[in-house]
Amino acid sequence: MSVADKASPLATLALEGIRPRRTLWQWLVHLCRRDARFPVFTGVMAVLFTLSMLAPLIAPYDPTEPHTNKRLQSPSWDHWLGTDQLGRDTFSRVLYGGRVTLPAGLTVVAIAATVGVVLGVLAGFFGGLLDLAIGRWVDAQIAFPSLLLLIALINAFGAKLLTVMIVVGLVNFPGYFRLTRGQVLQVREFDFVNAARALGASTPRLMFRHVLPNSLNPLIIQTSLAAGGAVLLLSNLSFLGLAPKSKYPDWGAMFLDALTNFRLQPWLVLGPGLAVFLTVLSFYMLGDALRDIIDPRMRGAKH
Amino acid sequence: MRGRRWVIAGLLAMSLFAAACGSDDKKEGSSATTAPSGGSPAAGAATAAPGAAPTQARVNIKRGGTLVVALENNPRHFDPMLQNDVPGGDIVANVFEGLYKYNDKLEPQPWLAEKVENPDNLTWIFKIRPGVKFHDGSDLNAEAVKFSMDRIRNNTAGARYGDTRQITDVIVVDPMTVKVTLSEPFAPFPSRLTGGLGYIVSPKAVKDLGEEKFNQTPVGTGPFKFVEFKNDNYVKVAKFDGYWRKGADDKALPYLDGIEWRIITESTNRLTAVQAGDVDLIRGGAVRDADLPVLKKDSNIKMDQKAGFSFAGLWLTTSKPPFDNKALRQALYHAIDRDEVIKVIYEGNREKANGPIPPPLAWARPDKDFYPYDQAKAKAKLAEGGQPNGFAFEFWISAGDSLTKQLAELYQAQLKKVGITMNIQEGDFNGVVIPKLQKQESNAYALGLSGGVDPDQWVGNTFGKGGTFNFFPYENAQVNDLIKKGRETLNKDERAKIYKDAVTLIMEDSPYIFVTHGVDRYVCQKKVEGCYTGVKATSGYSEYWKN
Repeated sequence: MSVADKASPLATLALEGIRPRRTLWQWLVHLCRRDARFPVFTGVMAVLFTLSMLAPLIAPYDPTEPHTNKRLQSPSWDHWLGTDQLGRDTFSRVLYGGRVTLPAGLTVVAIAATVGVVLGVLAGFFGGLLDLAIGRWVDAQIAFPSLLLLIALINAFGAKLLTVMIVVGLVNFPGYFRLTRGQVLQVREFDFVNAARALGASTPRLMFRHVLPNSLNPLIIQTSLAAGGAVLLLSNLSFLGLAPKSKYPDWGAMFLDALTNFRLQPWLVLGPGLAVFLTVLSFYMLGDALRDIIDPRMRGAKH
Repeated sequence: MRGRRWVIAGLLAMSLFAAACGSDDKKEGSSATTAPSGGSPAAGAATAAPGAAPTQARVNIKRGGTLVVALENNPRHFDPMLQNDVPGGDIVANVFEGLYKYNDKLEPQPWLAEKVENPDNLTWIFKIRPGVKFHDGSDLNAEAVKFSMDRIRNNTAGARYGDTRQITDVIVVDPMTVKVTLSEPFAPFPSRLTGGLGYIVSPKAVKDLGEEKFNQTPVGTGPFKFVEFKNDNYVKVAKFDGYWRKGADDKALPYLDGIEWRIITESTNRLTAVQAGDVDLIRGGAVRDADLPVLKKDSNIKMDQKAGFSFAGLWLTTSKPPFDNKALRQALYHAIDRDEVIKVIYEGNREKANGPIPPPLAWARPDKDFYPYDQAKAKAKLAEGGQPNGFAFEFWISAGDSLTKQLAELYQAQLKKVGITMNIQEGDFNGVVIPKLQKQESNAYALGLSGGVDPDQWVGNTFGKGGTFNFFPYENAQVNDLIKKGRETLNKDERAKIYKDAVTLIMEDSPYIFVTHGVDRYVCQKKVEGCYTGVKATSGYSEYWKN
């Protein structure tokens, strides 16, 4: 994390003034001390991710193989979350479902953040016609109901996993764009940026070395909140039948199946419901905790 | 052009719905016509002699009140010339009446036609029932019958145009007599006149209102007159005071003051509404199998079901590998355990299908299980077809339909046991699956048919050369001959043999893997009298009453 920038010592100085330099580890320890939600929900996320990624090793049953003599069972020692209409173990299916839903959620956020941040930096830094063009585009996109846009695009391009992730990502980039642009507009006027420019820093260097790092805090918070939103949105899409098609069930599709049989076996909604709930809650709580810690205005505020 | 034929298909009172009877939940309602809704069966006690006082008087019939019926979708049309959807059919059957009506044995009986004569097998002479009035006060006569039929014959884009193919002329002989001439002998003709083509509209209303307005406010001779339709909300009809038939209490029908159909698209909401007593009746596919155990426990509710007019299974494309190979199609049939499907997917509420003709038409069905579940036989057929180690194929289902997805996953697991790999693909029903089927682009589709009361509709339209639904494509000269013979023969016993032979031939070729027949059911408040299953259920609600 050391910013050894010989070309612009002033800028380095300015940066250090804004954010005390720490190693990643120190920073994490700092976060954990500042807010108990941080370690707790990081832990929950870590457990969810680990269980999902290790699903083939730890799932007690094959998630796709029907056992029609053991259908719609309530939770038991053999089947912790019961079995579904075809007699498949819900616990195993939830584990495998995480392998679809969680990476998809993160990819969506990564796409949205990358596109939004890059466009936001460009628009904020250069302003003028470029800003106007991208800004109007984003306004138009926000004016359009996003779920409707998603349904239209997915129907047009087909519900393949990659397509759905890209489409959902692109539909969600305006939030990042606006946030980044606003930050950049503010930061580019700071003296350290002018100083760096006076020292001959190139435009890309100014943008990505000086302006962007100093605009990051709100983006980190936004990303964490959005990851929860993305998981929820993907589950929604799946519930509406627009899910990315894969061999394994995702949580949204499982929830839809469970709802079909809700009157016969109410326990079925528990597995996928809890999985989505915990994931979204964790992301939101992390985002909230980060905001409280990082945002100078929130410093010292009671949670 | 294909799209157009699709529409025509609706008229023939046969249409597609997502096979899995996930259809039960949505697809059926949105895109299909069940036979009964086209053809109205004989109602209640007065079946034998319509209009006359019934022999068996009911005790203490209570008149008045409004029957509330749950609909799973908005009705699309009220004009019988255009109507081809299930929700619309229920309303049309109460506002209009046909020249014929089915009795309990599913035989078409003269209804608005009082007497029918056949001087030869191409000529049908109808004596119109006197004293029948339309809701607008005008009289039913031969001109009105000719007007109604010509209107359908002239509207090539209408939902019933296909039904008029055999008609060469409709002639008014005298004020109460109509003569219809056909181009070829056509035994199923009376069936067609039970609904759709046979529904008589008021010429005065059509002229006064104009075509478009008439579709919104239809005028017929039925027991109820149309009041109002509010999109996504309700349809209301009210008692027609001038109705011609009398009830068991010797006063004019109907017993009810009116009917209100509430449009409730979500199945759980329908269930809650009937349990809360807000809704008196839910019918057919609007009640899910998974909800039955709950309803059975409810002491305020009665229910009944029997096999209905539809089949579901796997639709194969026979023009490309692997299913251009008969032995491989037969292997697929032996490898699917239909009993397991019925138990697991439908909670035991379906009948096993052994051909296209549904159980209510038992007289025309061969009584045989052509392909019992047998893995050894399936493997033998695979070997015979040159694929002893199995093969792979694509199976298309309607996206977003949870039950169909699980059905497909069950097929997949069953087929895997004999080495057949089924790749499940999902797509929008009308936008992707149907076009793929029509263009014969893929291998197999989860798609069934629902249809009418004449066996010709089940065999001819689907498996005959040039049939509206022949997208396999399937052609067998012997079957084509039998279809032609079936249309020319009026004797029921001879027809029975013809259709049994045709089905046996079709089953040998197996262009379609018949898995289940759909179910016809109702869920009804105990206080409501007159709830039926079967064709009778779609005959309108003139003899329903509420305690």
